[in-house]
Amino acid sequence: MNVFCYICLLFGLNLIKNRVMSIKLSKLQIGESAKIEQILDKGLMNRLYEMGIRPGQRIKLLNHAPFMGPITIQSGQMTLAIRATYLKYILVSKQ
Amino acid sequence: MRRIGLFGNPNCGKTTLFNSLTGLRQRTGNFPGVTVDKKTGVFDVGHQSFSVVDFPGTYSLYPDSKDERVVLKGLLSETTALDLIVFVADVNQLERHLLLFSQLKDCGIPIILVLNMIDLLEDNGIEVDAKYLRKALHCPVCAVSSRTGNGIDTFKSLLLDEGTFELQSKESFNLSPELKKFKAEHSPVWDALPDYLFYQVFHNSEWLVKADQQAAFDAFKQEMAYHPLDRQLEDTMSRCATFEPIVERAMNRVAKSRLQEITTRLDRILLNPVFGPLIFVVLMLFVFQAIYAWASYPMDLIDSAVGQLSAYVSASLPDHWTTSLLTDGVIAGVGGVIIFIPQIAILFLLIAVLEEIGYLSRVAFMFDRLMQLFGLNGRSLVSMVSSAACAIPAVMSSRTIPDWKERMITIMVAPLISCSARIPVYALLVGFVVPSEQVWGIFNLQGLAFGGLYFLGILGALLSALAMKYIVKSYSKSYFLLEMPEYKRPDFKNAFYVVLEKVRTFVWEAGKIIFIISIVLWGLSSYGPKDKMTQVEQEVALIVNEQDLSDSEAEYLLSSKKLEVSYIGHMGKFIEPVIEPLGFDWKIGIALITSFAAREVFVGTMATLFAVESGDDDSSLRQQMEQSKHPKTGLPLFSTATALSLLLFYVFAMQCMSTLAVVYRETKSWKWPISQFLFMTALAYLSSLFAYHLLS
Repeated sequence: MNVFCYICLLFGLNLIKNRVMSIKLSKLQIGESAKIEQILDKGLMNRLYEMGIRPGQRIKLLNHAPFMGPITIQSGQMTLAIRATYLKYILVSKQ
Repeated sequence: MRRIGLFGNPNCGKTTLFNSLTGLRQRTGNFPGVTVDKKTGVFDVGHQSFSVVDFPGTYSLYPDSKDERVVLKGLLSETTALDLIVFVADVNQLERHLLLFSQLKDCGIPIILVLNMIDLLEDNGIEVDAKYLRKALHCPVCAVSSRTGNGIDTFKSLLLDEGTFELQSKESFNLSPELKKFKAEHSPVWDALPDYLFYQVFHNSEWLVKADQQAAFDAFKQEMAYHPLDRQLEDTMSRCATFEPIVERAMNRVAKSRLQEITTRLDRILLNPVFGPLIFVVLMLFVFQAIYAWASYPMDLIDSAVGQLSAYVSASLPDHWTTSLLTDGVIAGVGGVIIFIPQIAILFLLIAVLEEIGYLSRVAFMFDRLMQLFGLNGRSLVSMVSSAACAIPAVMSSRTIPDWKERMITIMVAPLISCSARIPVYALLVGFVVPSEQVWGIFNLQGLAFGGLYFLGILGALLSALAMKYIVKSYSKSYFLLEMPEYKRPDFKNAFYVVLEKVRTFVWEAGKIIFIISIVLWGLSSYGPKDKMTQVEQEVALIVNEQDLSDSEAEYLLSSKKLEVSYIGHMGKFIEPVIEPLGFDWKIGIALITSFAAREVFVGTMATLFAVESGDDDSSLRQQMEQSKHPKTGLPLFSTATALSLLLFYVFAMQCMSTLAVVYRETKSWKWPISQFLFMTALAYLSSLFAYHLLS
């Protein structure tokens, strides 16, 4: 019983954590939406700003390329491909 | 004539507008120092003429790559001093496109905002208030659809209005106090420059400023602890904050975007990890079929027309060296250039349509990771597949690769893929290496060997690319943020202009070099030291008399002997010591040199050297080759070892002047074609040497 409670607690905590705290964009599943919280690399942030993607915006993960390649995200009217190596610099929250 | 600069983001429909304005009155050159096409053209409105330059599409003035620097350079250069900036924005994505607009607006040049793609507004469920935009942005605004031609007349009438060419608003940019001081200190050089352009010069001083001023900029940057990335972000953010509310008021989303819906659905299939690559393979098979098989009809037509013309000319003119120059030199040289036009036209028609639809960006996306391993781009795949038909359109198609380094590597390795000109050589020689036998009931051994040669070419290309990934210096740190445009119907008018431009640049720029080299090759193979030539003629006459040869036999014998003592013959003998370790004799040496014109010439040269008729059936030539002995060892010349060594040489060697000419034209420097020639020849030499010594 105790073990079960503990697992439930962990599971619940994880749910809350995912909702409230920022996670890396690479952790998002296909079809999931999220809000951009922070971009950790300044050069990347500059480029993303120029393409109309900035913190506070909502994005949706659309596709994974084969061979562990880039992903595409949708933001407003635009679809953008980002290389998988940069996903760790983009923090999002699922709220 | 007033000068207009076309600016805008990628995929904003700028080129379509350029095409519909200038029509056929356009030409393509190069921006100095980079491999970016510079399209210029002229057009008239009423009695006024305008010249227009199409600048490459970028997202902002801050360059992301060496190629994007031309935008800022173009604004600063005296030679392209612009009277008006025409900023083309995709009205469906106005918010994003206004960043570059707001930067250009501060450059002290009058500007017009052209809202493009209004035909798609309804599909996207958007309404736009152009009147409000005009007021809020303080500049003329007009709505057009460059695809349907809607609104172009309104745009043209704006150009006749004198007010358009007057600066309508003040600069919104404020130079920081330190920079103001610096600008004043270094007057009068920078006095005339608007504050924002001066800021951009300061920001980009490391590549923009002349060497003698570099130190002053560097010292000042150090002194004020200048953080370029922070400043850039500051500039961008304040601009976004200004125009975002304006866009919000001007645009009204009335319904769900139909185009985006369709695009998302199509992408679910076309970008599917399994079906996506499969669909790509099918599409590429189609492209290959088109340039390999369908192009052969017009090519055969050109070939026979050139042949007939040269036969007609040589029959109707006296037997003189000028006739030979005209038929075997000039006509053959021109024929050697125009023979490539069908393949170039067909490939670029298909590529232009795929690009227009929006599919090529998806190819880059899907194969990015795989091709990255070899230092290539997803789009390199299209070039590599094309290269299996012919390296010339393949090298030209590498223009669609945005990254400079990836483009260079693609150009360097694409000619290693076995092209159709190698097939006659393979077909002639493969019989000396493997017998025509069935294995496992279904495969022909020679067919397998053919496949093996193709495989070697692909392997060579990928491994060379891998090596070059570490050798070629990269100029830019690119983040690979690639926009996936919405799927659109192709505009065939645009595709037509792409084809026209590619054919034109090939014929006039690469064609020149091909033509000159083929004349030189003709001269070298028809002439030789005079005494030797007459001596050979007498010898042949003697043999003909003695052995009572027929006219055609006598002619074959004469051309064989003449080729042997011609300058090319001497060159073949001269290089014999170098190629001897590969198992080649001087005859093969001659064929190696003549086939520089085109690889399949190898077969014709062999036929001439062995004094047999060359035609569709090479069996008599093969017989002669089997009987020929190596002049020094007395063993059969075309042993398994020699034939395999020669095959490998043709797989890897850069035996094609036309490709080298095109590589020169695409890279605008002899450094690349020369190093390509050297590395491919070295690869060919070493693998032939290895194979020959393993087998003999």
